[in-house]
Amino acid sequence: MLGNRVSRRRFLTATLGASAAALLASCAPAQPAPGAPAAVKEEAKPAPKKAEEIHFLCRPDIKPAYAADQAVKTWNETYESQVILDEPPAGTPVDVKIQAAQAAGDLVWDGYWVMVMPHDAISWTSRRIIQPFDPFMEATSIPNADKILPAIIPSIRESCTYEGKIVGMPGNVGSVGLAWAWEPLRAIGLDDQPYTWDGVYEAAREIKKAKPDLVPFGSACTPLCELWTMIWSAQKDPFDENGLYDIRGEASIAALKWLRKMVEEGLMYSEGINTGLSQWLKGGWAMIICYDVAGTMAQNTFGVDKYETGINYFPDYPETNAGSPFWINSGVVLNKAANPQGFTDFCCWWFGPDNDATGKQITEVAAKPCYTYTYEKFVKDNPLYAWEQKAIDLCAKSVPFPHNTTHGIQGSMARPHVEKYIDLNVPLEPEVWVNEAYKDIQDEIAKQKLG
Amino acid sequence: MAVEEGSRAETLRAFGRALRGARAEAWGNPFGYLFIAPAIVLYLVFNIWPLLRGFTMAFTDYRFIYPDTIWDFNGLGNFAEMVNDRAFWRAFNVSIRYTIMVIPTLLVLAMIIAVLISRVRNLAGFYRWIIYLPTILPIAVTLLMWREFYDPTFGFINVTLRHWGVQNPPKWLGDVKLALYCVAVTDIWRSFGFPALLFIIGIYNINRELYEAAAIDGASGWMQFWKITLPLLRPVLTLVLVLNSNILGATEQMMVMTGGGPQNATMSLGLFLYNMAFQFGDLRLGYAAAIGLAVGLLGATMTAFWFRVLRPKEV
Repeated sequence: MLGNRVSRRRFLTATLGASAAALLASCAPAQPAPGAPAAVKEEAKPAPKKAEEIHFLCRPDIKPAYAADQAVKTWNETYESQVILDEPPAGTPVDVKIQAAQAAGDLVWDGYWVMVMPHDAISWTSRRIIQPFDPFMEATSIPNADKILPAIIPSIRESCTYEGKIVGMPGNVGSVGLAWAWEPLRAIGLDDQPYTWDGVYEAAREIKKAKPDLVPFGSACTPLCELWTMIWSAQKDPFDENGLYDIRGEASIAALKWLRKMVEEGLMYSEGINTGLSQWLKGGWAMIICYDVAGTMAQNTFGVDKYETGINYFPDYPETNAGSPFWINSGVVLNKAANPQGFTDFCCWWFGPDNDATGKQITEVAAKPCYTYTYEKFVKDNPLYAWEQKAIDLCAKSVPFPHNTTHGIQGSMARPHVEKYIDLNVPLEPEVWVNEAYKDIQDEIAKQKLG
Repeated sequence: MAVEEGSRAETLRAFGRALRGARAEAWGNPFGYLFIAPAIVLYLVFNIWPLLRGFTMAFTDYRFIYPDTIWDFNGLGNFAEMVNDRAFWRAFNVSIRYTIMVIPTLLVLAMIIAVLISRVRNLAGFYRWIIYLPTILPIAVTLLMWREFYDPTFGFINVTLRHWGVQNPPKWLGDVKLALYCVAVTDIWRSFGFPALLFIIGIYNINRELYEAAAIDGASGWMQFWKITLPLLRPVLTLVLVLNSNILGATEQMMVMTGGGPQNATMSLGLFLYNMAFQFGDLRLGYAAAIGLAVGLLGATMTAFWFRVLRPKEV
């Protein structure tokens, strides 16, 4: 009966209209957050005053590493404004999520932690995801906030600065260093890490004799952890005339020969060098060149007397040349944030000189804080964290990564070539290798707009 | 005259009634449309729109880190670049080899298992459950589990081999010659349960009298399979092949297990375009969409080919 009263065309029109309306409604910009200034202006009657909200998006692993929960709790008890801690939604990469929210006009977060500096700086800035901290740091009323910038270690500050502005507030530094299990090292009579290429080679040989079940040496991530790092260790300037990692230089050739020799003598795997970290953590490898946080992870898991982290190794230590590659886990103020000043205030308090709890936590868990006052309070004269002091001293004089979008490309293009070079089934001269790898890198970069 | 007009009006009314009846019959209860409207809207938004968006994107030089490039149409530029891109052809080669490894093995294995299960008299339900089990495991769990199996030092396979006295067992995923096979084995293990189940259903639907008649005529088991089972499973075979035609774009297997290594031995087209879109430099979504479109068209061509080759023969 109803079918005779409503024509299909009318019904479909009505259904599609309703669906389109619902879709449009769902796409409309969200209402401003409660308590936001715009909402207050539009209220006809004065609403009861609410505490200012700071919406802080935080990567889950950063929470324990930086004691974020405790910091938020303390802040909320101390200050009138209230920090609301949120975690990135699952599935979508967080930068895409933020960018989509910004484009739709329904961004709820004021800041995010963690962006990796300097690798993400261009991408996040050109996509207008972030804005500089500078104006908000100048305007902050947090006590002693003026001591923060001067306390940032210069090479770290350089990495966090893009186009003359501080775009990332540094939290802690990651760098590449040698990590080891103490048992095999002590078995060959060492009570400290080997600091030279030859020293690592000799130690690996001794370990092979003393502990034949162990793989003496490995790398956590190719080519960052061995080839790039060895170039850093052997040259003052790790970049060539095109601003690319100098894989055609003498240091690179020497590093490749060193790696090949290690494989030929059975001191490291030729295959699967990227699985090194798990192999090392499972106890299958004695030494590994890796992100130094891995050493902290191993210590926290197995005990400080079992595993240790050090610094890079060099051809002629104590000459450290360009040092070691390093990067910074940073916080960012989001573009179009409702309360960028509030987030900056919170960050200035969080990492400021008066918040000892966070400094202590970063020293203990995340490792290698970025501020000199943290070292003076928690690292200096503490033998447990001596390696952090040594590593940060190296980072302080290391050559930072440049701001570019080609870091990932160079790594991805060089990686199969490194794997090929140390494959004993493939007889290959290093000079041939570097030319092949360099051509692939250049070809891929040519496909990009910016270098 | 009045009679004529009345008759004409009656005819028109009858026509109108017939038309409404036809409408009502053809379209059914309008409330049905109301109920399917949400599904249709979701389908349009989450299936059709991305398809159209991906299609248009394939003809642009959209680079994600430069939002202004979103509508930079470059015609067939991406496809021209693809033709000259050595990395694309390397990945294409890997994907083709992977397809050749997986699809025939998957079909033969699923068919054998299906025939065997269809012949058992006891515990057939248990065997069906067992073979389908890997399919319902989350893909990430399966891939990580197999990656651990293949671990050169602590993996189940090499530990067993060493236990049996093999001094230098293979490095599996770390071996440039073996890595793609290892990933293929994992993929086959993960996915053969579904086609096997389809084949089992197909076999159960074949009239048993045909086999009895063939047996009376003296046909061997192999002849019965070749002349009865296989021809009558042709529609199921087509379905299985069509459902697997997206294998050229295989991505997650390589991403989780090898990251494309060693020496790019497992860098499939899917992983290559993923890197292009979400990992490399400018995040070239336009170029990646063009690769995706090419992969999709290849998959569609494969589907059309299977339909053509396996369509029922007219009697």
